[in-house]
Amino acid sequence: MALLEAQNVTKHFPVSAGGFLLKHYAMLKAVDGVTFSIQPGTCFGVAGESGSGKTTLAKMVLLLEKITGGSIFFEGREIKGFTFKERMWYRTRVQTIFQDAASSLNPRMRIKNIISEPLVVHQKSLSNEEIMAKTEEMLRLVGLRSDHMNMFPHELSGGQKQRVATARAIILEPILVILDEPVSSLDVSIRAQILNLLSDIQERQGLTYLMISHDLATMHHVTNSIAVMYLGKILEMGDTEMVFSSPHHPYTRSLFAAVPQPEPGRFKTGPALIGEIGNPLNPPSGCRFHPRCDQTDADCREVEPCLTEVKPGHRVACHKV
Amino acid sequence: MMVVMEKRGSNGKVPFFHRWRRTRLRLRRLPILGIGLLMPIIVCGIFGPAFYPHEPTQMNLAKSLHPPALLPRGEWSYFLGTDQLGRDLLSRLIEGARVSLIVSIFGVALAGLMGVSLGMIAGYFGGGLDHIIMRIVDMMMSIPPILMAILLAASLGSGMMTIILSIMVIFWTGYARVIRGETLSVKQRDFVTLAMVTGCGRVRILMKHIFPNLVNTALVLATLQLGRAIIIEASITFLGLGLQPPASAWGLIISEGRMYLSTAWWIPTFSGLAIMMTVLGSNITGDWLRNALDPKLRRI
Amino acid sequence: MNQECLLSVENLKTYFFTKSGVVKAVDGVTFSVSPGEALGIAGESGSGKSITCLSLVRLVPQPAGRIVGGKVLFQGEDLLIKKEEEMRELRGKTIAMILQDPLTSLNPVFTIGNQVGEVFKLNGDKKWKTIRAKAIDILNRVKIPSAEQRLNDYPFQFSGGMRQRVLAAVGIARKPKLLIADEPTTSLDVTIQDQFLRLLKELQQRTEMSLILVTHDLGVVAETCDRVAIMYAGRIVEIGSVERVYHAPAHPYTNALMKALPKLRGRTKRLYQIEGEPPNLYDLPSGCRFHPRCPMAKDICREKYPPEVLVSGGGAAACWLLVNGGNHP
Repeated sequence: MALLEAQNVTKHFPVSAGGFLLKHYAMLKAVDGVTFSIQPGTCFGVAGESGSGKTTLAKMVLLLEKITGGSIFFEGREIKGFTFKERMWYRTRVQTIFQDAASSLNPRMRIKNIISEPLVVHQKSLSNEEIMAKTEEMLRLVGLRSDHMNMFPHELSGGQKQRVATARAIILEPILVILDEPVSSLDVSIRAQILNLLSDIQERQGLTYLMISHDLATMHHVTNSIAVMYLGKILEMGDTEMVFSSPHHPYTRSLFAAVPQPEPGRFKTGPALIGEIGNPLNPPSGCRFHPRCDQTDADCREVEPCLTEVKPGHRVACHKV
Repeated sequence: MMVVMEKRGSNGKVPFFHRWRRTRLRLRRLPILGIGLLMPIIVCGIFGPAFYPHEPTQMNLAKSLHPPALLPRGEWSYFLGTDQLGRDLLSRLIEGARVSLIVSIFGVALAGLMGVSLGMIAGYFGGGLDHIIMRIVDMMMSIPPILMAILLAASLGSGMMTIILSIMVIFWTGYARVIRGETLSVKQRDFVTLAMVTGCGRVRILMKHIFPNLVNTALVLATLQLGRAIIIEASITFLGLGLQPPASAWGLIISEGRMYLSTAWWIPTFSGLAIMMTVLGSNITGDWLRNALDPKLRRI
Repeated sequence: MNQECLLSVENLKTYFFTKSGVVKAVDGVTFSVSPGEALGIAGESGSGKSITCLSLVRLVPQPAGRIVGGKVLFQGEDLLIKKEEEMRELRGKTIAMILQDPLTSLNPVFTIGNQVGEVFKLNGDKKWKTIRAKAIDILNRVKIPSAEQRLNDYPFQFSGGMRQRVLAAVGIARKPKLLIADEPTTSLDVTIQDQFLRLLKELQQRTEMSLILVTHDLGVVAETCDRVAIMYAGRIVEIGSVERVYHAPAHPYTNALMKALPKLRGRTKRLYQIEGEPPNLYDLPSGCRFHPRCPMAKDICREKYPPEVLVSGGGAAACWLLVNGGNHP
């Protein structure tokens, strides 16, 4: 059974648009009908640029934003209507690591208190010694030393801060961890350390990851399946190897072609992708990508394509495929 | 300037010697002027009675309106001169320090308590509650402080409690506005979101996450407001709404000395100077504190 | 020194004097740029790449920062000894810069037309009609659609990619000989970044302008530049043509960086990781600054900073393993 399942999930933000006199409410369709499922023990990647809706999707899974439409099922239970108790239970099963490690740690709290806070909130029966023992164990697990316990966040480097954020995320032994651009704000030479750490922890604790990123090369290494989002919709989805070795959707192809690679003299086939990323307040009709696609026709402008299977485990939303 | 390398023990706690060395370095950068101005006032406030050259209330009509030492007819034992009833001015000023400090510190503290709480609630919960609180703040800020004091004195009578309450009522709005803004910005930071994801309740988030990050701002505000509070206190007493004679509040001394401005000038002058010293000291210290606590300007 | 060089930097040193100590942000940097060439300066945070660029045009943040040594020879003249008025003449006209954040580089209260036009006013054009025509022309050259209408728009009405293109327009307006771009695409989306870099390359090739591109992204350098200098802790550890450096990196740091990068093609089980952390600039390691993290460090690496050694295939690298004709692994 899938660990997390999203069915036609939608998130609409009412936004006041228009000037002072002509004020009206428009709908910002941040996420518009997204369906996917995550198998336990895997790493599911959601890739996209700004405006794609990937961050909003993550927030909905974390119950930080209300789900406007559709459903999200966790272990078969729909999370939309959770009671307070169910929500507290959910929080012990699903955790997250954010992009900005510096902002993720309360500058006025010591590391040991930052890491142990989830235990303090959820497991009130534990004694202080037990809490500290577990905290130290987590600290070791993420590659930090005991003397980091009493320090404050500003005394740590970027990579170390992200390790603390990781320790805090896994101390309650969740089964799903949402990784929101976990290494984007780190130096290049540190990224590999953190990614390897996350991969080790996944194996050791039997975790499932949902990773949001715009960094396709990293996604390629880390994820088992991937979904490519654009303006609130999934355009291509499937097994990572399949999608990366033969991308079908024009957007996915352009995206891969646009990623800078450390290969001098690499041939850039075809012209750069034209136009700007669309406006989620007023997305293009039909296929969202049609204004920038070089294979557009009347069908693309009017009818929105659905995700159809091109190979087992590989689905694309495009009329031309 | 050398870099202080801290050696940490195996439990991460910085050993005493190094903490002491670091504190010494920090102390070198203390605002000498600010603290220099405030220290005498604070010392007088706490240990006042030990310093009275004479009893502040002791009248000696034979010595009334004597000028300060060094001037003709002045005496060393009445260092700053005497007032119209022969009371030693210096002693009265020392006693006044105590009164002013108690009133302003309590007043500012209570204002802080009220302002920070309401500001935090307004900023964190937003919506209707925010609206209501901010409108109340707007209303209260539009009433002139002295008028507010008069209203309170009229209903509660004059005395120390009235002044403290007046200060609280006048100053809490300043805190509320600023703290609300700070709360809004702290609320956006990732660690607050993470606390929510962890399942922390609202109270815990407010007390453990938001409030500690507001303390710096609140402290700086308090230091800066201390000066203003003393001026308000002096003004209220000057108007006769606060402490009554024969108490020795600075405002009262100025008020009594009004008539003697051209003859026994030392009475209003020195009491005015005392107020100025305190306000200046608290402002300078407040400025330094703001710079010292601002993480962006921090060096160590 | 090669007479053909447009820019020749020799042993540039820029230090920051703070209350907590001296930060040797740039500590002896030497490189050169020929006319029409694109040089990439790659490095992580703290490597000194941005400060190097600011030092070239003498815009180092003061009073803490000061250029304490070296020479910056631009067309034969040392920029470090010029008077400030002469530098001001040079900046924008002969040497132009694009910075990282397009949002803060543009003044939000003036229209785009106003800001682009200002550049031409500085050039000496007086007639409003001429300025306007030139502004439209240059916005067209950076491929901003409906340039004429957009002259009256404000920066907030442009997307990030467009703003960066406007800044590129402002940069090349006076036909500079050298354009310095400091992390110009870091805040842009991937597809927009691609558009912008292609534009930059096209502009550079068409006008035979030299380009110094500063970035932490080795992929960007590979696709845009002819030569690359890899910086670490204030010094250049390797320099050479992009082909040579990427296919046969000589310095262990460069080698490690190449291996640690996740690639679009070829998946590995576990990423190669570089141990340790980037150095604390207040407390740099002795000898070779990379030695605490280098898998091949020897005793001498801890004691003395290695000399720059010429590498077969072109360029140079500073590593003890290369001395005496050694070829690092």
